[in-house]
Amino acid sequence: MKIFFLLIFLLMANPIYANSDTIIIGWLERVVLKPANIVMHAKIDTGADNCSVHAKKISYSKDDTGHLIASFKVQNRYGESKTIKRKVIRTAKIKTKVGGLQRRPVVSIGICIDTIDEYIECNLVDRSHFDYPVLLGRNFLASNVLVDSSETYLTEPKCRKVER
Amino acid sequence: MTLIKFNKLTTYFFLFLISFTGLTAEEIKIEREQSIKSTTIIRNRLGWVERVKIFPEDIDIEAKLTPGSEGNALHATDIKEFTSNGENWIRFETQDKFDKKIKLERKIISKRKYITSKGKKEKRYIIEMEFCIANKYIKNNFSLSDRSMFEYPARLGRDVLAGLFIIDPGSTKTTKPNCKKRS
Repeated sequence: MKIFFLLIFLLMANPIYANSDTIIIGWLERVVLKPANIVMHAKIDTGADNCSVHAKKISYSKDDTGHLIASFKVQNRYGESKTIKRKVIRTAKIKTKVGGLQRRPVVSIGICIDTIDEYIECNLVDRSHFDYPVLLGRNFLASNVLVDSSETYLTEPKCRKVER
Repeated sequence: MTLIKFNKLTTYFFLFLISFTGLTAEEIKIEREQSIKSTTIIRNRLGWVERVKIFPEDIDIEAKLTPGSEGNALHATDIKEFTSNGENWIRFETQDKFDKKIKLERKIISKRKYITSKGKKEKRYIIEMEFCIANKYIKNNFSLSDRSMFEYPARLGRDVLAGLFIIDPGSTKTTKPNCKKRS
C-alpha cells in the first residue's frame, strides 16, 4: 500500500513540460521596444527580411567620436511616446512595391516578445499609413519563434512588468 | 500507533525527497520533442518559402508564406483579356521555379483598381487558382501583379495559411507538394 502511494506521488512530483522551447506567436503581437521600454503593437511577417519601426521626427547629430546618431520619436496606442537616440549602423536600400528604392537609416533596437529579448537591426521609416508601428521580419523571428497565421496576441512581453 | 506515525513520517520524508528529483536531461529532451510533435500533428509546420504545385497544369513554383498580408499574389506579365463562352478570361505569363515562362489562362473573378503610392492608377485582376502545398489541396483567389523585382513569383497570405500551417521563419522548402488531385 505504501509503495502504491509512493508511486502515485512519484508520478505527481514529476514536472510536466507541456510547452516546447519554441514559442508560437500570432501574426500580431505586443512587444516592448528597448531602450525606451515602451509597449508597441507589432505585425509579424515571415515574408519580410528585416525589422522596421515607425519613427517620427527623425533628426541626425554627431557624437564625440564622429558617429552619426539618429534621434526619433515612437508612439504607441496608449498615447505614450518616447524619444530614442541610437547610432546609425548603415543605410538600407529597400525595394518598394512600386519598384523604386528607398533609403532608410538602420539602428539597433531591442525587441522583447514573450521571454525573448534581443537587440536587432531595425530600419526607421514613416509607417503612418500602416496600421502597425512595428514590423518584425526574419532577422528577429528566425530560430526564435513559429508563426501561427490564425492567431493574434498569443503572448505578453515578459521582460518588463507591463501595466496595461 | 507509533508504527503508523512512523510510516506517515517516512512517506512524507520520501515525498520531500521526490519533490527534488525532476526529470533527467534526456527525459526533458524526449518530452520536448513529443510536445513539438503534438503541435505539428494539429498544424503542419512549413518554412517561409515552400514549393507549390499549380493545377491543372502541374506547374511547380516557389511561394513566399506571409502571414502579415491577407490575400495571395501571383507574378503575371503580358496580361490579355479574351472572352470564352460569354465569360471574361485572361491569358498571362508567369514563371515556374526554373524561371521558365509559363502561359496560363484563367477566368476573371473580379477587377480591382489600385492607386499606387506614386499616384498611378493600376488595374489588378483577381483569378482563382487550384494548387497544392505540403499535403493540402487548396482553391483560392490570387491577385495578379508584376513581381519581377521580387525573388519569388507567388505569395500566400494568412487567409490560406490560417488554421492549416504554422510557419517557421528559420527554414525554407521543408515539404514537397503531395496531393491527390481534386481530393
